[in-house]
Amino acid sequence: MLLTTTLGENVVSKTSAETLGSVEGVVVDAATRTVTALQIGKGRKAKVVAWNAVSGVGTAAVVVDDDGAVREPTDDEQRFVGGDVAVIGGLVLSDRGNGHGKVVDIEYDEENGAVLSIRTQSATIVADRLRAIGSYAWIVAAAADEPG
Amino acid sequence: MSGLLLRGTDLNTLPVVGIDAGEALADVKDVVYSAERGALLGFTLNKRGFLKGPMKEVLAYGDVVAIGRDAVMVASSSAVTKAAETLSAVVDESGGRNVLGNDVLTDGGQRLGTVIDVVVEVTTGEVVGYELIGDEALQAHAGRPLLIPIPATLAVSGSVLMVPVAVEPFIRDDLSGFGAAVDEFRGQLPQEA
Repeated sequence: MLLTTTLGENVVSKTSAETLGSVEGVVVDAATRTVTALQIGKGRKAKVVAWNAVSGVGTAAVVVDDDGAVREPTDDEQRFVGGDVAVIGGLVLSDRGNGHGKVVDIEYDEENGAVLSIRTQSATIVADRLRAIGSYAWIVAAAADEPG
Repeated sequence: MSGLLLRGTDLNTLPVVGIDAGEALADVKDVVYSAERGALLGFTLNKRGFLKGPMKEVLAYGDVVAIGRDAVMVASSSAVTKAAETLSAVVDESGGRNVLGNDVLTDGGQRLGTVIDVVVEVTTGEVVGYELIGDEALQAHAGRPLLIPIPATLAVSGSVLMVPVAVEPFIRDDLSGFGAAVDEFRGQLPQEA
């Protein structure tokens, strides 16, 4: 699944069938290379749903276990939700100091949240190369043929 | 010369980024270079963002993981916690002063020009050449600066850098191909004992 497909989808509770909000972003853990939470809503009232409370991600909606799945972000999640760390639009920098453009999309496994690849204007980078995600850049291991 | 060649001034203002967390820790203010050793010693730094201004801390070349076109990479924020004395001690020891503006003379007694920049091979931190505003007779294209390869070590005095006269055939005006000129020039120098 592409992240840009999921963004904007309604988040629906499996138990009440109520729409709880829409997906406005994701929280990505660089160490495990997975989507760990979905951001619901924008601005200071933004909340999150942990990935393990998501029961299904389809092309029509994101279904979560129950209404209580939506919670306040933790401090780590707040860096993404608050915009300190950019996912779409984040700068991608190799560990040799060369820029690879900005993130335009992320391909992920909708079953388990695993990030498969990071797409920029100029390249598709396999997630295995991801090393860190920070407020300045996404750091990826340089390709073997990268100069410097 | 397989590594990327960059001008010293290209490095000014590059962000210093920690690989561990993807955070920008500082901006490069100036390149600190020893003419005697022909090597980068490190960088002085500016704060980033609203608090722009020189930092007390410096980045020693030994703590640099990589230098690219877009950033200077370090392992983590601990690389930029060194007090400025660390570098200034090395600079003082090497008679630290600005090579920009120095005259370049050949050992044949000809003046080639005035240094406006240094050319750095970024994987080794070695300074492999100078960019000069120079003698028009040496310019392949009028008005272009001259790139001259330099030997691994060279004599320097107060304001003069001395290079072998053998450098003249290897003067270029474009960084692409300059690496080959440096290799060729150094290859035909007598090996130093």
